[in-house]
Amino acid sequence: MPSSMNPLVVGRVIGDVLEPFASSVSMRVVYNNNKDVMNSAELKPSQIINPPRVEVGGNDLRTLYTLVMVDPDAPSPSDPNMREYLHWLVTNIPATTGATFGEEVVSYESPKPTSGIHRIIFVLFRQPCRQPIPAPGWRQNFITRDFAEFYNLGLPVAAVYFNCQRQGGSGGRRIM
Amino acid sequence: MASSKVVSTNPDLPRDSSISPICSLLSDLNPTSMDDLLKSITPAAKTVDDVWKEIVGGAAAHPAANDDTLQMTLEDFLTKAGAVREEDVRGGGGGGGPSSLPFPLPEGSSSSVEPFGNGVAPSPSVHKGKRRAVEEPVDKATLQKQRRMIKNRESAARSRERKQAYTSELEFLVHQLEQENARLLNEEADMRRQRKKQLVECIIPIEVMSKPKKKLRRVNSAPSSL
Repeated sequence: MPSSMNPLVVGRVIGDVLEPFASSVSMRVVYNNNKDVMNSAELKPSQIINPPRVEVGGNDLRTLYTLVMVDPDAPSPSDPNMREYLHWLVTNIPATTGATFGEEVVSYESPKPTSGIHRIIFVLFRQPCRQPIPAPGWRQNFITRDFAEFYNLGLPVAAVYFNCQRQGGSGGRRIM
Repeated sequence: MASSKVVSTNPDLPRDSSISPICSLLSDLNPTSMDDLLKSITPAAKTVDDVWKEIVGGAAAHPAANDDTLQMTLEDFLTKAGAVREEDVRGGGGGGGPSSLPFPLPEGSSSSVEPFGNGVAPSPSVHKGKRRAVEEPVDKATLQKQRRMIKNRESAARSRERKQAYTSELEFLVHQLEQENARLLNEEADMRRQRKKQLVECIIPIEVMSKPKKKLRRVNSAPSSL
């Protein structure tokens, strides 16, 4: 096992959803004011009912960012025919602020996996300028790659993900 | 698991125990018929290398032969192999596709060449084995078992990935925090030194001003004699 490999690569977030990229902006995702999202950590549906606080780094208030939240393992990781399911889309977020200062194009839908353990990914893109991004017609089969290309967003500047299974689930080996 | 390259036109093909159980389950090897099939596919006297090049060439024609991006399961391979059988395409073409599979070796090896070596030999005989599977219900159950095993393997692989990703994340955070901690400790030590220096250099003498004693006022308050 190679030591200190990028968790996004190991967890196949880079690969299944994103192109390889280097983080250039800080992003902090916090649920319930105390649960920082750590890569490949586990959160229960009951902990993610409300949208998290998303803090975006950078230094120039004029730089705008787009936040995408997707589930690539919908409806089930063994048969992800709805990859990716769009849970949240916020655009025009000014640097150094948070998601609440952007425009919510697609409202936050709390993930409720029914089968298997899903990865839930937050991706941040830098916008070339302030742009109106219309909501897609539906949430399923949203392809982040294509979306980024279509709106000229380039490579991601930050990403983080967590794992989620149904509330009563006991699946998955014990991590530690 | 030793993966022997069993590409050969030798009818007395060694039935190695190292060959994947799936292949041995699929193939009901009849050496003579396989030899005939191989001869029909490769009319001229071809060497092992020629046949191999053919197959690899067929594989190269198929897009995205990368383990990381191609998520084809053995299940799909079985379907493909079955489809190939039905269309009765030459064995090389059918075998060429799945050569890029992450063949279900326990270590999840990324080599596409070696495991495929196991797949080549039984491939023509898959024709025979698969045809029989449709007729006999016993093999259907076996197929279901295969599917279950493949799914379980994938699930186990995902579980391992989760665990490894979490560990990597922790390692990264530990490293980050250690650095920040060291930096902050240094900063604190620096600031202490600075402050001490300042204090030593600029000792301001403090004068203690005593409160002026209250003197008694002398006033002429004696009563007048008039």
